[in-house]
Amino acid sequence: MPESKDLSPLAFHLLLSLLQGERHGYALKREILARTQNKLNPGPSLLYGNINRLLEQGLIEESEERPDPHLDDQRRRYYRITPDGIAAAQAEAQRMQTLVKLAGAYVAL
Amino acid sequence: MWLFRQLLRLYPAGFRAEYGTAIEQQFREEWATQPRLFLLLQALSELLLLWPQLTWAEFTQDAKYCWRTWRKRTLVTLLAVLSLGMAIGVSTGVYSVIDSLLYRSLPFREPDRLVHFRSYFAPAFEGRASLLAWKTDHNFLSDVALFSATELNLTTQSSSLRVKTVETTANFFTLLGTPLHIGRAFLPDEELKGKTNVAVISHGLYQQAFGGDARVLGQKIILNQQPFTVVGIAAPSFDYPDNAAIWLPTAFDQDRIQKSGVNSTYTMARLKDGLSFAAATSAFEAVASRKKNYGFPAAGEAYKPRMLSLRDEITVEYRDAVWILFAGVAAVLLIACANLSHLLLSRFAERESEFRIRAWLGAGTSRIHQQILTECILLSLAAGLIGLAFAWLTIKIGTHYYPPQFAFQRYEILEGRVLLFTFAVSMICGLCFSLAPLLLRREGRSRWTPRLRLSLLAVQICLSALLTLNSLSLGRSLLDLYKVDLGYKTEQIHTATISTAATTRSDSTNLYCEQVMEAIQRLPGVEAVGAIDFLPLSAKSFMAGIYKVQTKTEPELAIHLAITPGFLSTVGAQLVAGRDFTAADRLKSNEVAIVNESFARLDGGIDKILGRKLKMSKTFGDQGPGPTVIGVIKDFRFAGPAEGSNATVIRPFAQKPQNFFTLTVRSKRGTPDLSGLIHSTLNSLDPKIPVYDVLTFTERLNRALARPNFFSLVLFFFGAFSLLLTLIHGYSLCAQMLEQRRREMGIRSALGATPSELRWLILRNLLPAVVTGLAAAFLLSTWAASFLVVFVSSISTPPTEWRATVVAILAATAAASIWLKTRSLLKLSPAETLRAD
Repeated sequence: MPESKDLSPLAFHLLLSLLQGERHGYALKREILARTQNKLNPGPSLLYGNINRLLEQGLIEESEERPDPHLDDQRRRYYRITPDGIAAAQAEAQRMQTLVKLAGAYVAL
Repeated sequence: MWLFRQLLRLYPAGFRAEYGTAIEQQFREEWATQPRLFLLLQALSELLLLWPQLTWAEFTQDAKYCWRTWRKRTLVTLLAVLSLGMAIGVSTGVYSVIDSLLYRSLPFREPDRLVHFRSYFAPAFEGRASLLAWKTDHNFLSDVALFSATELNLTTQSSSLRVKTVETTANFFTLLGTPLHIGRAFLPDEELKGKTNVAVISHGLYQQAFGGDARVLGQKIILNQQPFTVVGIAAPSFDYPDNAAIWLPTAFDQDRIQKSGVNSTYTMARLKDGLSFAAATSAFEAVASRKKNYGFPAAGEAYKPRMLSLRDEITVEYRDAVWILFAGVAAVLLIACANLSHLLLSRFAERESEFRIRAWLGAGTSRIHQQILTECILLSLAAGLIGLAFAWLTIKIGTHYYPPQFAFQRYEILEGRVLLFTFAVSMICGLCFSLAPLLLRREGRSRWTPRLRLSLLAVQICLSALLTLNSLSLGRSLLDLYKVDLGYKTEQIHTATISTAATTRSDSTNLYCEQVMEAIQRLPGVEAVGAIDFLPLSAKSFMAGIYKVQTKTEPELAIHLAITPGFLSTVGAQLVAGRDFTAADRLKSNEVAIVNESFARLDGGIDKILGRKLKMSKTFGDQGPGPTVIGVIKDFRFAGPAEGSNATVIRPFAQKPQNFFTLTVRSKRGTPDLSGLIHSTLNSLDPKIPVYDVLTFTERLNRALARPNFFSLVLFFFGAFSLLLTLIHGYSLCAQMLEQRRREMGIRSALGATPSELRWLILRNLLPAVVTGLAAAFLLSTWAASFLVVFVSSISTPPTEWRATVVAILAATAAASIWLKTRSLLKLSPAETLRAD
């Protein structure tokens, strides 16, 4: 399993979104925008660059299932999180929590 | 959107194939809702961020795949990389020579403002005031310096060395703008008579003779018995001019040191700031045309005063030669590329089904092309790395046969420009030989493949035949040079040069010469002994006189030589009329001379010149009546076999003694090498008289021919190497053709075609390429040979029948190799072939 430090903020957000279920690229982006109040706004290239990396690391995989053609565009590609991805997201959240605890000793939170 | 699509095209092919559509689709959706400028800027910044990561990831993936593929065909890959590596290596080596000789920056301040004069004006002989007046006339110059190079005996506390010494004006180092390693340059007054007892020594001499001890500054050194105080040590790579080891400010005090031989004084200068070289040249020509007797009026166009940039002066001798070598190298490189192109065409053709499978699995055409390109470039980069080893070997050979003139021109491989050249050549080669497989993979173009392969073969055959023909022409001319009648013999002759300058014998050199000859004559195995002042083949300079001759109104320049009785018979020079000098032709007897046929022809002919007094020209003042001609010898080539023979006047050494001479000793047949014995005999006669260059005359001839020898060897290597590559290409093309047409051959055989007919079929396919290549080479060879004149001036265009023979031999070899390869058709069983199919 890759170490959590390998995860960029965008990759972490992608994993968080996929923890909710399968998503296609544009849906992932919309969710991230909503979650971060538009503070994290990746362009399509950066989004797919990160998706590509997560696929290579085995943290996500492409889903074979497609929604009903009447509901969505058939060309869209759907992704889902793998067990390794879940572990990586947990490790990253853990790391952040530890970091926040540590920072709390120095600054008022 | 168009702009975004173009940006998208810049992503690596794999990423584009995988996500291109999705990215574009998402971008289109955002295009309608978000600020467009922001989107484009975001796309650009993301491209800059992602491109290196994605490209590197795809490159490493391709590289791993490439490694796996090529490992399966180790031998073929190794051969391909080695042959290309050799070609890249030799080109890098030759480029390194070109770079160091022609382009490396000279160790002078603003070297492009420095100029060198080729003329025979005489400010040097008339002193400092004359030089200053000359400089005033040439107002486009900011400073002028004189220098002349000579060899002197340096005596230190522990040793005695013969060192290259330069006598200059005091401003030499300031004019060149070269800082010294330690110490100081000459002061302006130190060029005045009585104050010239200072010296600057080279860094090499400082290390070699003084162990790098800075206490040498202020110490005295003795040069030809004259003391000088060392005031400075030159920078490590500075040895200009003439590999100098010592510089003295004695340009106007040259009589101070007794020297051997003739030392020409040269002038160099720095142009005024802001003046271009072209403007300075026209200013110089204006001055030269205004002045009378500016130059050497008797000697014609060749001696016309000229101003050259210092860089041109340094490089003029070998510029053309190295460029032609480079052209040879480029031809070999092209041949190697053609070979690899062919090899890759075959390899990628074999892998076509693999590419199709990959395409079905989703890899786009551009992704496959990217893979091919990566493979080609990796292959050529590997060849480039191996090439560095060959380049190192090339510069070792180059340094041996073609040593750089100055320390600052040392050939180097690990230098920025040379490494960049290797990298660039490797990349270009990679791109070149990937071009054919890439182009032919396009739809509908696969039918061009056989034609392209045959064209590559024709080009290869043409280039390699041209190289072979030219290397043979050069080799033939070289052999002719060895066979040429020099007018003297070099076999069984030992030589040694002796200088009495600044020794107790300097005023009695003639007497010492006679003593030496007597002592050597007594040695066992010695047949004849003679001596001469300027030995043919070795003398870099000579004395000359200007004579009025009967056949011309203009006076004629003739080489002056002085010989002892017996010299002509020792070296086998042939007397065609009159007599040789005898012991009776002494200083106070009648002045006599022997001339060569060239001079005799100019002055009335062999029969008429005997007994006549020669007339010296009065151009440089009345020289009085000349000597009486007592003999005429056959023409001889003073400067070597590649040069012609010049009009020459020879005087008895007793009547024209110099403070140096070269002894020539002919040994009896079967006598072992006498060099050691001659050296020890000369040392025992007077150990204080320096003896140097104890060599056989043949060794001196080989030295004179070292460069043409080297070039012949190199071109022969190029020819042989390229021919080998071409034969491999032809052979493998034939093998491939057989493999592709096996089924057709089987059917033809079943229908009654004999094996010979089948072999002829293959031969008929390949022969047009062979014939076209050879015919082009035949036609181009005359033109190509004209460039070789820079290596051997006597080279002639190879005669037609000779070229035709070489081309016919090459054609027969190619046909034989194809015929040989097709012998498998003899065993062809139609039933088995068709069953296997």
